[in-house]
Amino acid sequence: MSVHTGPHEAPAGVATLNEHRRRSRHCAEDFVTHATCICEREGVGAVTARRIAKEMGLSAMALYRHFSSMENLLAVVWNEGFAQLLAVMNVTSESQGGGLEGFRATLRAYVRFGIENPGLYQFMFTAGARPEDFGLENYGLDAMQRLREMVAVVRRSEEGAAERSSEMDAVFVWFLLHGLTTVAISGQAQKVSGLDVDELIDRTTQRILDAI
Amino acid sequence: MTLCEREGPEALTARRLAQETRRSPMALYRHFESMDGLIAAAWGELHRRVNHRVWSAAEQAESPTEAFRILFREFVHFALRHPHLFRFLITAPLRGHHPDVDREQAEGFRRLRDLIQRGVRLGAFRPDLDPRDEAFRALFLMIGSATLMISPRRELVARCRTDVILEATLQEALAGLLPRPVGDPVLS
Repeated sequence: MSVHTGPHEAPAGVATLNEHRRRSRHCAEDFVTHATCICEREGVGAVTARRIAKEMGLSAMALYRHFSSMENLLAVVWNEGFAQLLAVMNVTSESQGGGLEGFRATLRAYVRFGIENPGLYQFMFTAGARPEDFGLENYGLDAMQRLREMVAVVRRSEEGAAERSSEMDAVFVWFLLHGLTTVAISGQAQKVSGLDVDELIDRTTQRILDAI
Repeated sequence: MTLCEREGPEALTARRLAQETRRSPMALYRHFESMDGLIAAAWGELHRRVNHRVWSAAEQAESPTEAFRILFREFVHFALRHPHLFRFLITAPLRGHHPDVDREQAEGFRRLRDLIQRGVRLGAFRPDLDPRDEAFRALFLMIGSATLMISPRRELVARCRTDVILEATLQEALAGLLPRPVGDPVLS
């Protein structure tokens, strides 16, 4: 993981030996993991330097040895969320040999990712994090580009589909996926429909495939 | 709701509410069993207001198709005018069981499903539609497009202008409902 690192070490003699040992056991990934866990459990509003440090048994300043600011840390958390989503999409599609079945399985896996990581998922699509401002590759753009590519592949395999815009189709697919994921996370879709979540995913997935 | 509208759902903590109302955090618990109870009450009230707003406009329409257009636009416009409240509406972190809230949300969905059913009955919409599936599809398109339009990183998904996205998505939603013209390649 590439992150902005701030001043690396406290001046010699400031930290006690025990403190130094404890700090050195923690790396940037640990802060990201804790921040992600708090975001997942309680929402992004609970992710503060003080809170992360408290969970890790460190001072709040420890965080700033690895990250220039909280925005830097949140940008990494946001980006890691998209990196995970992209990995899920790729692995799922490949496991089905790509094509239509790969796409169908990917749509299901996308919704499942949101349901299993609701706090992180909501943060990914409501926050204004800018990983590129901290020298990171933007995995959010990569994940959405992957979805566009999958839609384009499926459309190429459908006769008579050329008249519609593949780009807009991908946008509509994402709207449906995001709407479904959001409502499924809240549990309301299952309550008002009487369907279990897998049935709802399958019916919506089929509707998406019918439309493109 | 005033606090939520100004600062977002993340601001809804006992401490912030106490600051806002100039009372102690304990005063809150004289009226509500827990923060979850307060959030449920606010969420139910927000649902009632949104339902009232979009449906009172849609019910003035002369046809199911027009009612659907008004409903769709009103919902998305609500999100654009009140982005924080919209986020709260679709992502409220409720933990317990809240029958009143469930009823209010089910009511909104039932009315959408009934509108589509009426359109089918009157011949305005395709006869082979499943109103429940189509109501979900419309709801998902509304939530998805509204989320994108208020997202600070909307370029992840689309770079079009807000009004272009709204009208294109509305057309897409209607395309799934309206009878296809004779000679449409999808039918042949």
